[in-house]
Amino acid sequence: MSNVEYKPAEKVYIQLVRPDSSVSWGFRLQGGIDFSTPLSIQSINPGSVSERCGLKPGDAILSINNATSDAMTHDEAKAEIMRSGDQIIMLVE
Amino acid sequence: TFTAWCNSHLRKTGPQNQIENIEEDFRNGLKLMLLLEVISGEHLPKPDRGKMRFHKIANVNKALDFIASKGVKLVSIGAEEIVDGNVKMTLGMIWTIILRFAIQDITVEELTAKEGLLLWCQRKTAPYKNVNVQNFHLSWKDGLAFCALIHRHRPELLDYYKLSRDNPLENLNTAFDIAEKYLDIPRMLDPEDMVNSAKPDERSVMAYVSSYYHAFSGAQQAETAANRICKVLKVNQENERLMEEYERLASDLLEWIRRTRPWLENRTTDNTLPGTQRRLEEFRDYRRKQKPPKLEDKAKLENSFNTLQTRLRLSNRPAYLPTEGKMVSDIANAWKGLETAEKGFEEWLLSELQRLERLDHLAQKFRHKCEIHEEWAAGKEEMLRSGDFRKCRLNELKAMKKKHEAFESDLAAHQDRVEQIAAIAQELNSLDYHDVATVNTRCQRICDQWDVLGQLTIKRREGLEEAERILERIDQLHLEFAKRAAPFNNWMDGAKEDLRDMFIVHSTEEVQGLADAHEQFKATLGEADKEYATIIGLVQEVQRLGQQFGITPPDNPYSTLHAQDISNKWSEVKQLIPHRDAMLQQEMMRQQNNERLRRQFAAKANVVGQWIETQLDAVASIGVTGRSSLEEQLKKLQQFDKAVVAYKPNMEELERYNQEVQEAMIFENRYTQYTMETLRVGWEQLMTAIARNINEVENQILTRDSKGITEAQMNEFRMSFNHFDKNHTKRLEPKEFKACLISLGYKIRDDKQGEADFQRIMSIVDPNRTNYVTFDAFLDFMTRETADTDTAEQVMQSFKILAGDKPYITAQILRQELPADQAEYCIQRMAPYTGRDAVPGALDYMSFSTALYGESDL
Repeated sequence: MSNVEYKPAEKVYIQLVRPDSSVSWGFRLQGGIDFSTPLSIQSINPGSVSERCGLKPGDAILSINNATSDAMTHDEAKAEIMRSGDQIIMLVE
Repeated sequence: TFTAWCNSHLRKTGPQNQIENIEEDFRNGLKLMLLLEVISGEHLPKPDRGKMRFHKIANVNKALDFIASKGVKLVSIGAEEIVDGNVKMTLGMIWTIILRFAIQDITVEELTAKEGLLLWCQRKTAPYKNVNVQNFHLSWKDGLAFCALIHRHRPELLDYYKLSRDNPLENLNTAFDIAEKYLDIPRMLDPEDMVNSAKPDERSVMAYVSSYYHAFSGAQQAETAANRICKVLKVNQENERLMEEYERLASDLLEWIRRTRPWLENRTTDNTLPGTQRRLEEFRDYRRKQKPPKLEDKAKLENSFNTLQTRLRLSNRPAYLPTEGKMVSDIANAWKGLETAEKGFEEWLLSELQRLERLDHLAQKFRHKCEIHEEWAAGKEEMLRSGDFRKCRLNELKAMKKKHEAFESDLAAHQDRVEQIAAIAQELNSLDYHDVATVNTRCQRICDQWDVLGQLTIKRREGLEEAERILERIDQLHLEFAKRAAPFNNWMDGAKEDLRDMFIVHSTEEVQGLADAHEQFKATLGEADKEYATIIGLVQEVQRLGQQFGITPPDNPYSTLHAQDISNKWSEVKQLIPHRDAMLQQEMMRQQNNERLRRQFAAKANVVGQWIETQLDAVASIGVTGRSSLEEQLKKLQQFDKAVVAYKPNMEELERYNQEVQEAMIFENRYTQYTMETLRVGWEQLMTAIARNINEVENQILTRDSKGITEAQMNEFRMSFNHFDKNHTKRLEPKEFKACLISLGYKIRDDKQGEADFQRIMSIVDPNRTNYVTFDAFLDFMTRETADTDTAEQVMQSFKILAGDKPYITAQILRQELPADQAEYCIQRMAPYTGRDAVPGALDYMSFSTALYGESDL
């Protein structure tokens, strides 16, 4: 059981930009409505694009590119991210 | 010449008396006396018949005395010389005789004798240009003068224009021959002598020419005498003609007067202006054309008469006496009479014309007035007779009334005119107008019509007033109708609605209530009926009034409702009442039936429900206490299961009851709290609970067996579980579970992350997402905590080992290491590995692993 420190939750827009699709974002997506867990960032690879862009492990994804991700399945969310190409805007909490 | 001359006279007495020798044959004086007698036409005294000298001298003296008595002075001519035969004396005497009796008497234009004769010759030969008589010698040499003289008097005797002076001999001969042959003038001259001598003997020529004179002038005298006779006769004839003419003219004139006068005295006319004008025309014609000639005739007559009288008087005839009645006086009288008649006629005619003109004018006036009146009156009768006011509305009627009033004034105004017309007709009558019959007829027609108009006007007025009254009454009725009909109509509409109202009732009380209301309503019908009757009565009254007075009642302006609508609706309402009665009855029965069904159902439901609850409780209580073993619980549960199965028929029966209830459209049942649904649910719950509990127990047994948990541990877990299972459902709701976890020391944050964690936990304990945590899931979770959990990492590690530390795995390896179906499962689901070090057929086990746990590396 992860023992994460208490932090007040704030909603933030994170813009992820990578030079091209050969560079991975560097985060692990977890959750989805089909897993009954909220869509969130499980972990961030150190020195990755996503770390540089400000994404933190434990961030709950509220929307991907203005599409709310509350009701997305894991695969749908994954697809949305991959469809976004080299630039994603995510609303996270 | 002298001889010839004498003989020309003597032979008249007989050829024996001619002389042969002028010197001898007159010696006895007998032939001399004879000659004188012949040439003078008078008787001499009787000659002495003796042969003695003195007898001869006496005879010659008688002759000489005679000559002297004729105014001839015989100078130195004595009887003796003659008796003695003195040639010179004898010739001289003969010449004197010739001169005296042949020439001296010649009087031509107051010139006598020789001059006269000469003038005569000149006169007679004047037309002949180649003759110029200037004397009695040379002028006669070429003979043309003689010819001219002959030709002048007797042109048929010679063709003068063939003669020329170049043939004097011929001319002379011709003349002498003709004179001798036709004029009884013997030759006295010798043409040869004439031609040859330088100057013919004047006396001879004179003597011969004088014969011509006497012959012609004798002829002329004869002519003159004839002329005179003619003249006289002519005068006579003329006179007679004049007399005749007079007579004729007189009788014509008188006849004409006789004819004309009555015509002028005819003072009758056809009494028409044109006729009289025609007569005036005739009169004018008479004056201009007929009378003037007659006037002329009269004048002519008078003149003729005067002329005649004068002529007669001048010619010493007796005066002319016209026949009886044709006297001048008669004519004058007749004429006067004519003129008198004429004058009177003209006067009369003019006055008649005047009269007729006036009459005509009057008649014209009459006609004009009649026309105007008739024009005005045209159509009035029709209009007055028209029953139009019987068909109109009240306001129209009032307008008509006003119009009629106006007409009445107009009529009054026209009274005057009609009287005028009658007056003129009267006058025309008294003045004896020729066409008075037409006038009278027309006047009568107008007057009759006038009377009729008057009557009709009155009638119309009465009609209008009556109609007005009736329409007002009708209007009132209409208003009343409107006032009553509308609310009644509304009431009826309401009643209809109510009566038709589809009620949905669910109880007999409700039905009864409706039935009661209906009864109440029926009670009001009596009043309603009365109201209805009143309303209809109003309409009927209107109709009746209309019929009675022959008026078409107008439509009701106050209401759009018709009696018919009201009637229809009323009968509908009336029909609906028993209908509703029936309906209510029907419904009542139905409700009663429903009640029965309800009870039936309720009775059963209560029993079954109770039983189910009991069972449920019983089932729930199993294992609650924690005293019995799992196996014992299981056995008990199985027993319950059997009991439930045995009890099923009851449910089925209940279902049937329920169907009945539902079919009867019963939606509530106060006899039971249980609905079929709740019972079904309960039943299913029961069944499910039993099944689940069995399952749980079995799972617990399994878990216990697999995990090696002791009974005591099991009980402990059960106690905790039951503690948080506040509502005894043998399951934990997420809230209960969360509380439980917290109580067990789990930190679950109060935010999204905390929630996420909790959700993750939930997904583990409740993979089927039933939103409940069963005991064995709970148990499982609690006992799992200490064991290793498979995570995505671990799975990934496992794959990595299999893949020989490579980041990808091949199908071949999978098939090698895993059971066939799981290998295929992986092959199918693994995505191709796309790393730089990829080989054909490389599969990405990492994303697969994470995906299993709902995790993706991006």
